[in-house]
Amino acid sequence: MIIKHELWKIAKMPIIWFLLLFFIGLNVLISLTNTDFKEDMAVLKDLVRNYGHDINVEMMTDLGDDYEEKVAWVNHIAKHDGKTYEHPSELLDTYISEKPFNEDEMQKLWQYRSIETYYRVSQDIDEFYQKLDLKDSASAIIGMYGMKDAAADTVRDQFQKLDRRLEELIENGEHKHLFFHNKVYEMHELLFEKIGRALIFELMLLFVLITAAVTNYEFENKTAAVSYTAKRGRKLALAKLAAASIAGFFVILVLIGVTFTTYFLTYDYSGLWNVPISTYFNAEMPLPYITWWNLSFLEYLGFFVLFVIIIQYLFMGITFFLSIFMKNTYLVFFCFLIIAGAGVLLPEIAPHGSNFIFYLQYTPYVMVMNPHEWLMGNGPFTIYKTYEAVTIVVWTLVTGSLCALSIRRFKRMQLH
Amino acid sequence: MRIILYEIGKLFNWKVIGLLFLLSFLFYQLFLSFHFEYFPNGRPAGDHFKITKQMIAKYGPEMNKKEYENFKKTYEKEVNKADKYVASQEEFANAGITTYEGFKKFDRPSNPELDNLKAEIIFKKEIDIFWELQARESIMERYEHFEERTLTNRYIDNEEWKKEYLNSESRHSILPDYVIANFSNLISMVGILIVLSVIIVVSRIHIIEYQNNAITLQYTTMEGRNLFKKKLVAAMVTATMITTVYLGIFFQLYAQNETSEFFASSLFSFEFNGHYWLDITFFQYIIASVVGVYLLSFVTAAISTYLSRVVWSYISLIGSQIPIAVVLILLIKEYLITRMFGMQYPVYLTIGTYIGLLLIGGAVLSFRWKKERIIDIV
Repeated sequence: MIIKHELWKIAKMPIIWFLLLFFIGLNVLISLTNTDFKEDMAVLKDLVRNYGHDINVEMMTDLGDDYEEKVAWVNHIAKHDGKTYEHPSELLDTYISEKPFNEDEMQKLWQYRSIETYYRVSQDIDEFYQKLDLKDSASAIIGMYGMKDAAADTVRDQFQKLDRRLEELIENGEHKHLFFHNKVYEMHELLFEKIGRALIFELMLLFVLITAAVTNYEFENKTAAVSYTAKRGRKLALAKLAAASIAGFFVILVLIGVTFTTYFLTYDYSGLWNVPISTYFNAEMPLPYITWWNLSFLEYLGFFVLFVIIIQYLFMGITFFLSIFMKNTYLVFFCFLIIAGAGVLLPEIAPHGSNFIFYLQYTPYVMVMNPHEWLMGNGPFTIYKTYEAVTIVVWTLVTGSLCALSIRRFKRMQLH
Repeated sequence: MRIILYEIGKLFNWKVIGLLFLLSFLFYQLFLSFHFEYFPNGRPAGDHFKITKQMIAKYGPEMNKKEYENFKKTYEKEVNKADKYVASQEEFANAGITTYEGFKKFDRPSNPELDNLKAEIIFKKEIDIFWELQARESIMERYEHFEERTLTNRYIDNEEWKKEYLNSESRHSILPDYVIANFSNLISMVGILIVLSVIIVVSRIHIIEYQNNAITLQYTTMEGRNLFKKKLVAAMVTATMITTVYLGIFFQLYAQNETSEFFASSLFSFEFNGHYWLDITFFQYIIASVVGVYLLSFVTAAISTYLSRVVWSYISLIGSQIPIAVVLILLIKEYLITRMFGMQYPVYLTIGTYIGLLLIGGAVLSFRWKKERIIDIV
């Protein structure tokens, strides 16, 4: 029952509600940054409805036949200039400034142009993957970061493993699925990097504030001398941690819930939920996204949410530990931020030739920097297949024992 | 006066100073050091940098048409040197390539082996002359085409400005765009660091009195009721101190980028594609940025003082500062310091936002001051 009272203390802090609203507003704003492409994206929805998202021979012939008709129409409206156009884009490029067509025709032309992109890119996928050589990617990364010796070997080694996975991926046909053409739309970046990272940082701030405020509550409201002189009072630390966990879960639910609801109501993903995240259309960089496991978009999203939740609880554990020993929300807050900054910087102290540049990446602080590359072999420093799992397990153990230690220590701690 | 000094002393306790040191160190490593270490970034930017400095030494901050003819002659001379180098290379001579022109135009499909050799000369051996020529060509290209580029620029929707630009003397200014970009990136990150530091230090100004229960003592006396004003002065002095120290250290560090040659050049430079509204020199731009940083620092101090007085707990204090910090950082990165007076936003928006922020700061303080003398303290 004590937990209920502790929870009430959190719920009565107006600033938590205020911040939650502010962050929701911010995320809605970020979510709406790609709406220019909405009409374009609708074309994909039609394609998927008519032909499915799986790109195979049968589907390509169907789509090809349909596309021929579209090209015929293009040539029909372009009759007057006596040329034949192979693709809608050619016509559009020719008349980019004159615009001799009426609005309906223009709209249709733009629509066909989108179809053209999907059709033609689909045709080129096989060739792209034949030419794709991960050895080049490895040497590019080694050159870019000036790696030497052991570090360079590790990168080559990891890319070899990734190469095996790539073969498997091609065999499964994970790369040949229709999805948003993200070299243009960058939806993966928007959802997992921009929104994802914003979510993580916002939740981090809320988690740190909630945990620190409720843990230091008695000290900051001058009730410490009363509550902590009793034996029962010294057990409050655990109740406070439990209350913070419950409140934190609520905050996650609301913030992620509202943000994703806005996002998926704005951008229609229907029919695309089961597309593998490693599909070629999802690629945004020259190197397409390659997950270590065959994951669909929905599964990937699920893992994203799961990781976000776990990492937030890691942050909570660290904050709790700091709070017990510092007893001041102001200091705890800034200390946490400084530890976070130091965690991000830590790998830079390692010499470029040693494997420590990889080992020092295994912290939640580094992990949250690139949420769009989780479970993938794309981040040069976090390329290990087990990077996420190892980070989470190790840090759960570390923060778990820190919390246990601080709860025990708190039982016989000086109050001043 | 004595009270003001005490207040300032309370703000800078050793924990807070330690916090500032750590924060500044991390900030420097994460956001600033790159712009010092890699400036100018690689080649041919480095060569371009060197050449533009030589040009300023020779022609002054502007290069008029006559001086441009001279510049072209220097280019010809350099081309001759490059010709000699190419002619001296056996493999190229055998393939019938004996001039720089031929060397430049030569492409991969005709002879992959020779192309590898070309890449080796440029990227492995890094023969200076080829990089320098590349830089000179880019200068010439920009100098010759800036008029038509300006006229056809669809993003500048202001014919009057275009006319003013094309008629001004300053359009011949020599000022590489990456010099401004580099400075603008640095000063905006320093501005953000200053805003955050002011928040951290000044935000404690009133709240520590609640936390120590001193407020009941203070506000029962005449002197205590005036404390709000004195604390405000202390806050402003502290903000000024923080800003001055940070900017002082920053400009010491910035000196290593060695850009002082460009101080007299105007932002209307042909190198820029006309990205700024005002015809001011680089030095004036620096002054404007510094003024901007001071104003932001004062606004932050004013709002922090106000919040510190009206908020009762640390968590509410931090919580209410987060949105303010987020908004200020976004504005600084968007147009208050980065791209200040840039074409992307109307010039009145920048000035208007500064005035608006100052008004908000002043308004909350005067609003609070009116209440202070009679307000209930429990």
